[in-house]
Amino acid sequence: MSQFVKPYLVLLWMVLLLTPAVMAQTAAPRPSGQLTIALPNDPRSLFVPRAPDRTAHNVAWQMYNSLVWVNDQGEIAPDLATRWSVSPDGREFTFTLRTGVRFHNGELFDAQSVVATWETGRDESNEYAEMYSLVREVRVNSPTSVTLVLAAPNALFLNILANNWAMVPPVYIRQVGLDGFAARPVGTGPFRFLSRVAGDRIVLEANANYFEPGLPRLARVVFRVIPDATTRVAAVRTGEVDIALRLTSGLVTPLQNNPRVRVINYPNDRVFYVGFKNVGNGRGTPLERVEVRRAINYAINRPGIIQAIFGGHARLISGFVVEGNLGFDASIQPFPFNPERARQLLAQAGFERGFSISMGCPADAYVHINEVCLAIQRDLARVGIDLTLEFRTSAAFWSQERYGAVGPMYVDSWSSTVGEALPRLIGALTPGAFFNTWEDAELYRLITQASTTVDRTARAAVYRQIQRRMFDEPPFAYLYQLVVFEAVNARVQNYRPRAAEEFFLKGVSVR
Amino acid sequence: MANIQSHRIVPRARRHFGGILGAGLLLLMVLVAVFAPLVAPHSPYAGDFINANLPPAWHPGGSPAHLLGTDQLGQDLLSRIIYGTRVSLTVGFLGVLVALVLGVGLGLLAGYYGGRLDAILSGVTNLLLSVPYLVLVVVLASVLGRSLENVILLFGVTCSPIFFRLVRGEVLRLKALPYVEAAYSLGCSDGRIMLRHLLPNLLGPLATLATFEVSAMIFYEAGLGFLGLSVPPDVPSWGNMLALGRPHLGTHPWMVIFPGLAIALAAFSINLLGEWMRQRLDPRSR
Amino acid sequence: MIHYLVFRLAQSLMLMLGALFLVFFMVRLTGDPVALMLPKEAGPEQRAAFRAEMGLDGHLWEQFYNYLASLVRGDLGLSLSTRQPNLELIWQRLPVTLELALAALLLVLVMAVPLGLIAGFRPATLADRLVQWLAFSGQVVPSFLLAMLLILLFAVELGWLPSFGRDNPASLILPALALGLAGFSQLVRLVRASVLEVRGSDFVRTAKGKGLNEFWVATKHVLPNVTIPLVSVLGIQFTYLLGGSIYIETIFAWPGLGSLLNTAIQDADFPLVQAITLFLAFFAITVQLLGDLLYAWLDPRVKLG
Repeated sequence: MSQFVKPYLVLLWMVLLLTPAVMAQTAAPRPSGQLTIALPNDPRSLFVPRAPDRTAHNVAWQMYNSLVWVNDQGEIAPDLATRWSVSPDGREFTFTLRTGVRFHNGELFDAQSVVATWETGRDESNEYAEMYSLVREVRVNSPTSVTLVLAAPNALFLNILANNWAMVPPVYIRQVGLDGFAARPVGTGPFRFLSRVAGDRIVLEANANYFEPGLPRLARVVFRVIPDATTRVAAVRTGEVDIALRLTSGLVTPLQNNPRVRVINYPNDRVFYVGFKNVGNGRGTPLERVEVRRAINYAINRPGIIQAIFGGHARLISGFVVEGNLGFDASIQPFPFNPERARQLLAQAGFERGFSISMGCPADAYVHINEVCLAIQRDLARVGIDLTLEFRTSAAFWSQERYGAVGPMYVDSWSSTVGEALPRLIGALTPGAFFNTWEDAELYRLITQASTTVDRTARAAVYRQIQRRMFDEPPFAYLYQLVVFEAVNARVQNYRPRAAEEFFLKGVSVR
Repeated sequence: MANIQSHRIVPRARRHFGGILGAGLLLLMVLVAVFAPLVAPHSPYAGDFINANLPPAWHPGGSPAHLLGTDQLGQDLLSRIIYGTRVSLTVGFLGVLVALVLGVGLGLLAGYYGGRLDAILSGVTNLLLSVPYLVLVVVLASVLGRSLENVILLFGVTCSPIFFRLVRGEVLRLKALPYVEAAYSLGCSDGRIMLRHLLPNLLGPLATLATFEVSAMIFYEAGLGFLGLSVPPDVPSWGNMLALGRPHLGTHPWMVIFPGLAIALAAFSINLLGEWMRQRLDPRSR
Repeated sequence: MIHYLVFRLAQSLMLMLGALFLVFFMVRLTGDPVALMLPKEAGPEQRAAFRAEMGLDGHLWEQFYNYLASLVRGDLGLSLSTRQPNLELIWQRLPVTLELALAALLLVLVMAVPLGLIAGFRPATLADRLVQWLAFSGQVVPSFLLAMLLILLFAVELGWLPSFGRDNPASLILPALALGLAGFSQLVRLVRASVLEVRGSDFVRTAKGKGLNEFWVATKHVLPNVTIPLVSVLGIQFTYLLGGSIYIETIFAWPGLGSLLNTAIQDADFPLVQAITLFLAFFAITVQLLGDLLYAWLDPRVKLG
């Protein structure tokens, strides 16, 4: 082989070897296709501290990142922070920030963005200001390092951070103000805001400079507001939308034979229960007897409700800590349906001839809630409890502190987005809290303990104690956990909604 | 009159066919409503989960005990529709009664006495008529809360301006006629003139208008039920049944179809009767 | 005419004032909306601050005075749920609702007037009876049921028209049809009755007696005389359609005032409910005023005094 051919051969080999590598670089899938999602309501705001509803969160979070992210496995994972450390007293969180990330408007993300997020978030005009004001101080160590100082240790702080602290660009938000920002939001997320028509649609497009390589995979996401569930089903059947949210089993069942549509369902982390009161008009009622409360738990035919009203698509629960929550104890079985046992317990408490009481019901506030109230009335009548139903609009129902004139029994629900029962435990069982109706000092002690225990394993143990206590001396009668139905066009890939009806679209693509 | 000529072409029996059919069907519905406990095979509230979600009897899986099937609570649909007749006709008839009492009473007074009273009443009437009707009803219903009394009062009060307007206009016209003036000069009391000389002349048009309003109120009740603003959910009104059935449209469509048919049948019979009455009784619209 | 104009203007202003009063107190009958608008976790201080911010503290009359004062400045308050000015929200949605309401009115006119004319010119024929039955059946189905049926038939089964939204002119057809239904029967009857009346009147009979043909009589005498009663009911029809839009817009996801009002009611966003109701009342009063003036201008028989 001649000497001067050799360099050419080397060059040839280099080309042959490098081309696939270069090809692979350029062949990283470019964002393509449009995904259309039918929302049940128009998001109230796309500025996260003002977004109270799940729909608003789901639209907004496609445009933002927080410092950490709850990944598909439910673990806290790095997002705009690459790593973090916690001080021994659990009050100082120090984050190392990702470098070179830019907001949609070109601003660079750095420690000042974290400060701006905190300052705008705790503005008193925001509904969720306390999700930011629980941080007392944001210390800037360097452009790529910040320390968040909490007022008190908080077991769920990283979850709160992931769910609420959508990072905002300081210069832009100062320029346009909070209202202006809510109208044209800017984040670092996989999609950027393109346009919005009130009550009609929100259009997002792919952020070409998104920091995670290969993402997002969609060129455009269109959210359409379709309040009527029947119309949402029609729109997914015609192919006008790709995903229809918040459906009922009774509406989607016929779609199961439709090759174009995939029906998905998953249990929502929202527990439904019959609340009892031992404050206000609940004082001095038979409900104060633990036998009566347990009797009601036995008397309600929950398997029947789930089968007949929800077509089998709901889950029995044994308390506020449900399957999938931290510390869930599967050995505690839900109260079985046992009217005979209920009658015995009532007799033990001295109510062998039953009693009359009234129950508030938030009419139409949840799927099938009216029928559930009627079923409870019928079941309790069979053990001698004469229930008067007070149907109220949701506005009238939730407008009064500790449910004011409602009750002394009422039907309500409480969700959690953090994978733990703590938010609903605190809300429903903290004595004196706005929606608290049952005061149990021992239970409250355990809840306080859970909320200040930062260590997960130790906290799980406290949850088990809480679950046991709520079963032995039930403050409420537990009903079920809903199964959420959605209809998805078969061309949609990788769509994975989570238990709290949350979804992230960065990995989703369409064929 | 051109349509006199048209009537000559139509045979007599056929001319009354609509009226007879409408009145017959309506009478049937009233009887069903009154004797609901005797007619209905079950109590509208009775049922159990074992018999829930049954299809109509002629479908596979249906039960002869439940002719039109059952709802999610196992309640008999036929029985609920029969009792629903009671609720819907109560809303329709009592609502119209309230509207009649208010509208006719105030209309007579306003038309007869005129002056400041008339100005005030006419002003309020025009006000109620100026707000788009369904907006007024829906907003008020959401404020008042769900009860049968509220729904009846709501429809009664908000529909009264229609009757008020009719009565006031006619009274103004009749007042100028010689026989009323004669009665006045003969010393008849105001009340006597209004009740004996003015009101009888209004009965025809009032009855026609009232008939159409009954049908309208049945529609409005169904519409409020659709938005979740009608009578309490446990009351088996047709509107509530529609609202309850809609989330099950895919699996149990008859929960929507049958109450829908009941509403259509009621509207059909009442409107047939109304049309007939319009042609017979209302001299202003031949 | 000037006198009539001034009279109707003054009357309309009085009505608007009355509507203001009615709407304010009507909506205040609800419970305390503050709790609903704040997260379940909010503390008492936060609630008090929010109440003050929304102008919900103080006596009812004080609130009314403040409401009136801000109204004069063109301020209809803030929506509880979105914090945006109500007036802004309404202006965004108004053209959308007008588009639908006018389309419905037009669609109904286009269907009802020819049918009414046919029925009126050929009374007691098969055509007449068909038209009358069509008009009659329009009264038998509630519009929201018809809306659902239309979607199932024309969007899902046949795939001819969009099932929801406001994307292109075709999106208008189904909602306009469902919304206009309520007025269809009335308009058909009105046109038919007017034609019959005019055809029976002396001057038309004379015209016919003079050997003028039917078509000429129709265009020269009947049509103008049918137009007048038609104009007089169109204002009322239009007002009614605005109300019907609550149902139709919600079902068809039409982003107008009707669906906004329904959402506001479901959310207990009472400043917005109040603002929309008031706005629609003002709007309807204005439309009726214009309709009446048009009517007075068209029909010289209206007393101008």
